[in-house]
Amino acid sequence: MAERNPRWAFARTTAFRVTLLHLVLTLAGTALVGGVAWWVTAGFAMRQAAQEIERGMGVLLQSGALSGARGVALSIEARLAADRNGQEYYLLAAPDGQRLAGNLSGVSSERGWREGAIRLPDGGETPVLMYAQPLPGGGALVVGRDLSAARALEQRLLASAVWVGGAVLLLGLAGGLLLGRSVARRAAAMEASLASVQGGDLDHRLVVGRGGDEFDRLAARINATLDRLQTLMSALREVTDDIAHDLRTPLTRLRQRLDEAARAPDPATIAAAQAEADRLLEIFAALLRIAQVESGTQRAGFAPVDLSAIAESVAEVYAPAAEERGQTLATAIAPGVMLTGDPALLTQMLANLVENAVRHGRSGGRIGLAITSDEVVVSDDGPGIPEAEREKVFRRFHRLDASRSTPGSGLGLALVRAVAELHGMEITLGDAAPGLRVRVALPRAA
Amino acid sequence: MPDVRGGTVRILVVEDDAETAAYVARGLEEAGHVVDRATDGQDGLFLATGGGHDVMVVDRMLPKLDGLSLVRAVRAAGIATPVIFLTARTGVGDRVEGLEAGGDDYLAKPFAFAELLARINALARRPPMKQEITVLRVADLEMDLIRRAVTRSGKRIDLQPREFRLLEYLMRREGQVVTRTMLLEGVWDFHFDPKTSVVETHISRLRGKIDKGFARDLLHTVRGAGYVIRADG
Repeated sequence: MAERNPRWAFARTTAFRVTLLHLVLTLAGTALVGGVAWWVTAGFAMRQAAQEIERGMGVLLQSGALSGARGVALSIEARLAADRNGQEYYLLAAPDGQRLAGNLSGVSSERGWREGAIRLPDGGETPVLMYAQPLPGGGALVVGRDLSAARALEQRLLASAVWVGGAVLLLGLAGGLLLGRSVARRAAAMEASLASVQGGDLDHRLVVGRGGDEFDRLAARINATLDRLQTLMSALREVTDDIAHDLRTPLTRLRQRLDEAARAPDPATIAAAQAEADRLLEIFAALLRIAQVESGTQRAGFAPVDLSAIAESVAEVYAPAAEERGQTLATAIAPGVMLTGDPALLTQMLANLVENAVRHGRSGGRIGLAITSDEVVVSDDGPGIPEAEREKVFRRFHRLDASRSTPGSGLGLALVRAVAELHGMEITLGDAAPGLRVRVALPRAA
Repeated sequence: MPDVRGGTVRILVVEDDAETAAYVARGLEEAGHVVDRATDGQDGLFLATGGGHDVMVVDRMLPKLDGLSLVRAVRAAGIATPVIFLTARTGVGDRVEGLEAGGDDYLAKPFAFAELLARINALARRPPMKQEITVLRVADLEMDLIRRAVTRSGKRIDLQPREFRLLEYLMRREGQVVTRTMLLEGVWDFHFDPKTSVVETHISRLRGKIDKGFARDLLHTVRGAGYVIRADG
C-alpha cells in the first residue's frame, strides 16, 4: 500500500471522489455542447461555402453547354467583377493546362474537393475550398470560396471551448476540494470523538450540528448508541458487583463447612457443605438463564402458546404448597389466552410469580392468580413491597431486608422481568392493600 | 445407594473430561453396571456402532465429533440405544436440540449422581412396547389407563387429573427411583427447579390417598435421590 500522506487525506474522501466523477461528466457534457455549437456554426460556414461552390459550378457548366468555353470565360469575368469582397475563386483551364479565365493558378484540375492556401496579391495567404471538374472537351473548371471567415469562427470557438473547459475544470476541482475538505474535517471530528470513547472516556459525545444533515443525524444516532452502550456497561458493572458480593457469602459458608469437615469428618457437615455447593451452582444456573433470556436469542423459537393452560397447570402445581401454609390460591383464568412465546420460559415466569406470592404472602392468606386477554395479575396479602423498593426488586440478587432470612437467591424476579421483556410484556408492581400486586401487561395481539 | 434391580446394564459413557468420566463410571460400577468409556466423539461413535450397550451417556461438547453429531450418526446407522445427553449448557433451546438429534433424555451439568443413575435406569428398562399396557399394577394397587380409574384392594381411589399422571409416571417405573427433577419434567413439564417444595407436597398428598389406611406402604422416599413405588417394603 502506498504511503498515506495526510496532506492528501482529502483525496481519499468520498466527497472528493464523487466530485471528480461529477467533474468528468460535466466536462463530457461541455464537450458535447461545444461539438454541437461547432457543427451549427463553423460547420455551417463550411457547408455554406460548399453549397455556393456547387451552385456556381452548376451555373458555369450550364453556360458552357450553351455557349462553350467562351461563355464560361465571360461568366467568370462577370462574377469576378461583381465579387467586391474577393471571396470567389475561379479557373477555366484549356486542355493544355493554360488559364483561359479566372483568378486561380497552379491548382490541380483533377476531379474532387480540396482545400488549399491561395497567395493573395498583397502577399498574404487565405484558405480556400475548391471543387475541380474536368470538362467534356478537355480542360477543367475549378470553383473556390474563401474560407477565412469560417476559419476565424473556428478559431474563436476553439478558444472559448478551452476557456470554458478550463473554467469548468477549475471550478469543479475547487468545489471538490472544498467539499472533500469539509466532509473530511467532519468525519475526522467524529472519528476523534469515537476514538476517545474507545479510549475509555465513555461520557464523551459527538457534536451534533443544528443543520440536521446526514452527518448530524449520524452523530445523533451514534450518540444514542453510546448512551445505550454506557447503560449496558453500568448495568454490567452493577451485576458484576452484585455477583461478586452475593457469591462471597455462600462461598465463605462452603469454606467454613469444609474446614469443619476437615477437622471432624461428619456426614451432617459434609451434607451441609454439599448443600452450599448446590446452592452456588443453582445461583450460577439462574444467572446464566437470565443472561440467556436477556440476550433474546430464544425469540427464534417462539411459537403460539396457550397462556391460560400454562397458568392452570402452574396453579395446580402450587395449590397444595399454598394449602400447606393455610393459604388459598384463588384463580380467575380466562380460557384460551394465546400469545407468541416460549412455553418453558412463560411457565417459569408464572411459577416464579406464584411461588413468590406463596412464600411472601401471609400464612392463612389469599393468593390471587388472574388472567385476562390483556393482563396477568398475581397478588398476595403479605407485607408487600414499599414503593421506593419496587423497581429494585427486579435487580439480580436484590432482596428486601425483611426477607433476608428466608431462602431464595433474589434472582426470581430478575428472571421474571427478563422473560417479560423478551415477550414484550410490561411488568408493574402495585399495592394490593395489603400485600403485593404484580401486573404483567400482555402485548397487544398481532 | 438407591436400589437397582434386575440384570446388569451395559453403559457407554462418552465424556472428554477425565474427572467427570471417572466419577460417573465409578458410580455406575458401584451400582452394578458395566461401563465402557470413550473420551472423544470418534471413539464414542466407534464403540457405539459396535453395539451391545443398553444406554449411552454422551457429553454435548466433545473433541473430534460433537455429541449431537455423534448421536445423529448413531441413529442414522439404525442403532436405537437410548441416549442421555450431558451438557454444561442449560439453555431451553439446547434441550430441544438434543432431543431432536435423537437423544432420549437430557441432563445439565452439574448434576447429582443419583439423578443420572435414576435416569439411566429409567432409560435402560423402558418397556419396548407401551401401547398394549392398559392396566398398571403394583401389589394391590391397580390403575386402569382406559377407564382412568385407580383402586387399591378393590377400593376406589379418587385422584385429580394431575395426581393420576403423577401416579401413572411412578407406576410405569415400578421399582425404579424417580427423582424430583424427573417428576417435574415428566408430570408437570417444569424445566426448572422451584424453590417451594411442590413435588414433596404432591407426593405427600398422593401418599395420603393411596397408602393411608393400608397396612403396607407402596410409595417410598429414597433419601437423597427421589421416590420409588414398589410392592416389597
